[in-house]
Amino acid sequence: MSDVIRLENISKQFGQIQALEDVSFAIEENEVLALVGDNGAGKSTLIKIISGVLQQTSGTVYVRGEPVELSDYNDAEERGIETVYQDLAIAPHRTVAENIFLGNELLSSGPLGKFFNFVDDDRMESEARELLARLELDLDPRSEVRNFSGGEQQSVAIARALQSDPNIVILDEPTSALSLDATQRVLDLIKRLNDQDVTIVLISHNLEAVFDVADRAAILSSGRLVGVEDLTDVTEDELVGMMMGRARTAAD
Amino acid sequence: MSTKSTSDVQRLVSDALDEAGELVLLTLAIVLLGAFFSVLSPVFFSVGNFVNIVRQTALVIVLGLGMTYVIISAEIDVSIGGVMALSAVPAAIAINAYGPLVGVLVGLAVGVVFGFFNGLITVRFGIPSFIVTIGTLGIARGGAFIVSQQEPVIVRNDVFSAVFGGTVGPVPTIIVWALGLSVLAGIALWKTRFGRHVYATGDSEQAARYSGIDTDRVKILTLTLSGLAAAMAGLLFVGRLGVARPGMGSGIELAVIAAVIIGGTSLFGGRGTIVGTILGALLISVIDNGLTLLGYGSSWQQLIRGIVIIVAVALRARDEDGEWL
Repeated sequence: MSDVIRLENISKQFGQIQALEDVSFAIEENEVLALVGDNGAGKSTLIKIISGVLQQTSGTVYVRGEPVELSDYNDAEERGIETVYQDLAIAPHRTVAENIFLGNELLSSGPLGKFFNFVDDDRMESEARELLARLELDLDPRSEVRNFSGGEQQSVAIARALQSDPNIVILDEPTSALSLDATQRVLDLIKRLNDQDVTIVLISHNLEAVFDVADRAAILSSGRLVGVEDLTDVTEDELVGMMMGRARTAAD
Repeated sequence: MSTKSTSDVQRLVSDALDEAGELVLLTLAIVLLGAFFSVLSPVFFSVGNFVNIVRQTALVIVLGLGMTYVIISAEIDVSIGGVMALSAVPAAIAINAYGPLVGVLVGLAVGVVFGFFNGLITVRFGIPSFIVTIGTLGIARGGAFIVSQQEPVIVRNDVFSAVFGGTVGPVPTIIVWALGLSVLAGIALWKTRFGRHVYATGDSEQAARYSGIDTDRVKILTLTLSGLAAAMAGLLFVGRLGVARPGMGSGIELAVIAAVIIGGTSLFGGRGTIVGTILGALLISVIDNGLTLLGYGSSWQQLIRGIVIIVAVALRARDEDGEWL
């Protein structure tokens, strides 16, 4: 397998606080990589660097072997990296289709439409319908999102990230606010995405979910990388131990 | 995706009822009130009086177009009365000195500059637009008195009077302006990418920003549009009365905000329509006009208007599940 993203000696400082220190690891093509760690371990900071929201103090991010500077959200999007944030960034009074195309509205093709930037609701609706069908999500593209359950809203947020056909999707705590039932549906969705050759970075506190869908886990503790483990090789207890900062030296 | 579950249908119906139902209810309220006043006053139900009502409404509608954009983007603009005056006074002076074209451009430019300033200060310094526009209201009103040297400026120009204050056949031009601008503003809000970004910015600024929408730019633009609308209303006001007074439009922001809110635009942003604003303005005008004909003066109009605002907002004060709060 080849690396889609490689992090080399990434450090991030906020004033006096060292949020990340010398973090290096690679995300492989078409894997589900879980990023785990206690609160304040640096997970959010790390994904914000990969998604272009924050810039590292030192170190290099490589995308497909190429060193890149991700100075904003659009830089990351151009390289096929999409992020679904924890705080469900959806517009409640807009329809599913409008949310999916938010900021990327499809425009009418006629000369008048182009000049005035008229949106093409029919095309957005039909493309949204196709996308939802591909993800096996039973949602009406014309419904307003505010009527949906937490799990359905999370699905809309994920569908929106997929609208630009990314290779890499970063999911920040996608199940933290969900019921058991809804969690399972979101996890199934993650598996389907992975089957469609999307590389996934999953940040989660829910270790059961991590073991369910992820291939490997990168463990962060106090801003440092404790290790990257194949999840078939470790137990949940060992993983928790590593999250507390204990490297897995004894077992190896 | 051929089958549709009941809940999907219910959702679609409830969405449609929320939007269209409100507009139907508003129309019904206007018709019922009209019928009520027609029974009580023989003068109310006449073509002359209807034209009168619409003409009175036109100014509030023009101002309401900008205000609808601003409130949907979750901001507010209380400076419009002052900006109206400060646009109109120098416009009137320039019309007398350099002709109507220069005068109109001067007026519109003042509105745009003030609106842009409102937006810039709001987003750059993170000051609520309510506070910023209270400030610019004072600046603009004071400026209007200074520029006019406390005196009304009488406009003597036939072309200007015909375009902004005349009639097209039996219809006053102010109504034609209000209608034309409403169509433009309505289509732009409903069908363009910018319109969608205005809704998204007010609905969830975070979602909009995460989607790559420049919400600061959106807010600057909506407040600039409101300034432009204020300038346009100032010109129409001068066209009708033939004089620019520095005190003109005093307090009109409350009537305009009331019309927008009664029309279904949410003060929290993200929801609202131009059609709603027009109906809201008409409702207020019908009440004002009817009360006047029945011999109740402006103090009663203010009192009733206050009650209508509270009732209109209370009727919508439901939580996300549709339950009454």
